[in-house]
Amino acid sequence: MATTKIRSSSIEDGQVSNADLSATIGVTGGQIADDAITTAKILDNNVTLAKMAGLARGKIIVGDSSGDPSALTLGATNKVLKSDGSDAVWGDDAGGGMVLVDSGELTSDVTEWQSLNTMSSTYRNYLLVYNSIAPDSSSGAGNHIYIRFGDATISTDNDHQWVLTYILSDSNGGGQQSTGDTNGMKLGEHVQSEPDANIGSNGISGQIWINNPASASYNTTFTHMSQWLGMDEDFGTDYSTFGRGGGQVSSKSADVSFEFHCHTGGLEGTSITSYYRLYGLKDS
Amino acid sequence: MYTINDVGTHRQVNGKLVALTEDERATLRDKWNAPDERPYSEKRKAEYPSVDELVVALWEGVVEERMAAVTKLEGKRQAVKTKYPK
Repeated sequence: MATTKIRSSSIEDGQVSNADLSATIGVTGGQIADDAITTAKILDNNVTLAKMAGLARGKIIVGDSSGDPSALTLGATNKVLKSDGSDAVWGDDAGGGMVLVDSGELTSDVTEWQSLNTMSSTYRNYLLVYNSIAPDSSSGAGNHIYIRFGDATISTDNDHQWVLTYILSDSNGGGQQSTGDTNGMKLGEHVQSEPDANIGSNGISGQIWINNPASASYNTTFTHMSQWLGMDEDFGTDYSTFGRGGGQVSSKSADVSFEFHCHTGGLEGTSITSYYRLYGLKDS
Repeated sequence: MYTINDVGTHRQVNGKLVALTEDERATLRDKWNAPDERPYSEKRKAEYPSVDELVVALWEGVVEERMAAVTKLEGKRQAVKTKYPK
């Protein structure tokens, strides 16, 4: 019998060994039983992303309660991926210990710059950072910048007790205080005005820690550090000045608002842009 | 002295410009023109020469026997006292 004439039916099942097969024999998908490829049959690092089933945009593969991969749907805008102790879940960004409560920019000349009803009992302590607050040009020799705390509309000019010490870059320095100032707390003395400012003038910048503002059971207290170019009237020449101070609103009151203003004259907003950012500090 | 025209026309409240009434402008003008009601001691302390200046002047006067700085500072102190009498 010619060797090319043997039919499959003439071969007993299980009698063709691997050695009898051609080295170029092709195995097609139809010749592999369903669910027959085991993990060991796949070489490490050989399942590419393209070989995986499609995944809707934004979804993430995570393990489910059965220990199997599952697709976690994309979270809503600004949600962050967190753990609930068992699974990965989307939730609010709790952030750090500091939360931005209010912000402001001054781009017009004004008499006062107010942030009304922006502090509350949600936070016991606040941090107020301010940049480049300057007297307007009506204050030729510079002016004193104050911050005043008050009720929801700053309906009354509360007395503020405060101290301010300062040192100038020419090593001069000094201190001031008030036992009751309805202007508020003085942040800077003779802050150089804009736009008639000397070179290097940027208004006054600094930060204030505010304690218990919204509680009527405590006096609102505050401590601050600031820097400005000024003090010209006292020393004849403007110098970079560093000041720090503190004080309190004289009465126990809920002081949920604050206001920047000059001792006399207005605040500059057109020649220089001023900013503030108010942060609430979490207790835990 | 400030006039009503020296007083700005707006304040900024929670990011919005709010026009001042004429009464509010007049109140601000009066406040800006009001005399300084602080006690004389506070006014003097705010304008006296600094402690640093005093120490240097005293050193020059006592140790180096150069009295110019002492004399100059004393002039400043007396001018402040005259400006803010008891």
